[in-house]
Amino acid sequence: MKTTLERIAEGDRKAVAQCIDEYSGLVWSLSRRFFDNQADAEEAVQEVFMDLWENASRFDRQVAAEVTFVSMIARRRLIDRRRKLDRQPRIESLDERDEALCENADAVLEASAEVQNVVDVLRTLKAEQQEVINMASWLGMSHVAIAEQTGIPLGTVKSHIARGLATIRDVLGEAEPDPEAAA
Amino acid sequence: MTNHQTEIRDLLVARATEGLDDADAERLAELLAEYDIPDTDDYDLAAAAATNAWALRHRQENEAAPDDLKARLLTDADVFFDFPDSNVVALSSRRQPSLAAFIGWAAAACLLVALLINQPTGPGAPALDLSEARAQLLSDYPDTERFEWARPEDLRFANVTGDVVWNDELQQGYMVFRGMPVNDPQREQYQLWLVDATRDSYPVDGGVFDIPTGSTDVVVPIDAKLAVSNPAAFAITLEKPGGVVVSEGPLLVVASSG
Repeated sequence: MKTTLERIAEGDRKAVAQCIDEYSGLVWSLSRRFFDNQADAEEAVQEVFMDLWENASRFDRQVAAEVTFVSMIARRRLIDRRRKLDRQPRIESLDERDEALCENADAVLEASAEVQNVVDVLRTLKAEQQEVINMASWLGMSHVAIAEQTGIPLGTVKSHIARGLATIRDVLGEAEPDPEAAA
Repeated sequence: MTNHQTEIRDLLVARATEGLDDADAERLAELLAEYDIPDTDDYDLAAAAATNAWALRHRQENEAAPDDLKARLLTDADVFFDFPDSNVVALSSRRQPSLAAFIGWAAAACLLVALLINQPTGPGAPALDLSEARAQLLSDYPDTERFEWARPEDLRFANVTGDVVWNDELQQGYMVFRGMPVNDPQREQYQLWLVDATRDSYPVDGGVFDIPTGSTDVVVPIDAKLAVSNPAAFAITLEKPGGVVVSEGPLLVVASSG
């Protein structure tokens, strides 16, 4: 069974709409964490999907799950765009937002064994390292800002992030089904 | 770890988590070239995986993308891939959806679908190319389902017969119409809706199409804008040119699986 991006890479028109259906919630949720301004967030999402379509052929399920690849493409674009806008990441809670909850973002995350594996891996890290990884990856904070907020020396922050990401990297691709076996 | 290895690692991690300015990006490229180290996505993928894991743990904070943004993404895709149109016209001008109007429409649709009685008809001889594609879908893919149009209640459509064939795996299908009234595309167009029971009752836009003057049997490919799983019904409405995001009906012609 081919994935959505694999079908897009083969020119399957239907897969493009499916890609939007499956991942727009996830990409939108990430974009909203990077930009307070709705217009910036929406433009960023449009750029992310352009990048996704351009890079669909680069996806390799042996390396990582599709949802991981999608988030990687999204994060790169969001980070780049935010640097250009020279704005600070938003770190406040989203609880006050009067928005519809995104069931399809949850579904695509829950369906990925790889995401579940990484959740488990994060739990094995020391509390301080978990916090630093959370601030860097989820809250989008710079290493300097993390050091300032936590009081952890900058070098230790960098080391925590590097080791944590290396640990996560080791489990990527493991949970993805063999294309031949799945066919 | 040597100094240059540490520097490369730190730059790769920084790129994955906070981005690099131009000077650091150039420095990373220099180091990778100097030590003949391939540039990989490893840290970027790991940071993305961590993001997804936190997104799952904070799922209550995830938001649905606005409908008008999703519509723009579909339009972007049409431009990006330069998709050719068949006789189904892409929805390019969309208005904001009205949930209240939709809910009313969906309730009516569900009721009508539940009350429908199928009207069996025989296969016809539709236009050549699409007819062949439809026949091939039926012959090559045994899982392809066929739904016949029920007898319409609206007298203007009382003579309409034909069917819908749909393959879930391929997300591909065709409609056949016999006796469907000709429309004036400058004033109004037919629009297909696919009712997906797994999609919170939201019908999926199947694109707009026309019935040309002088046509008898017409084959229309289905252009579902979103993935559809085991559609429970297919419904046709008559809308303004280009179609709408939310239809207030009425449902003119319906085929259901029940």
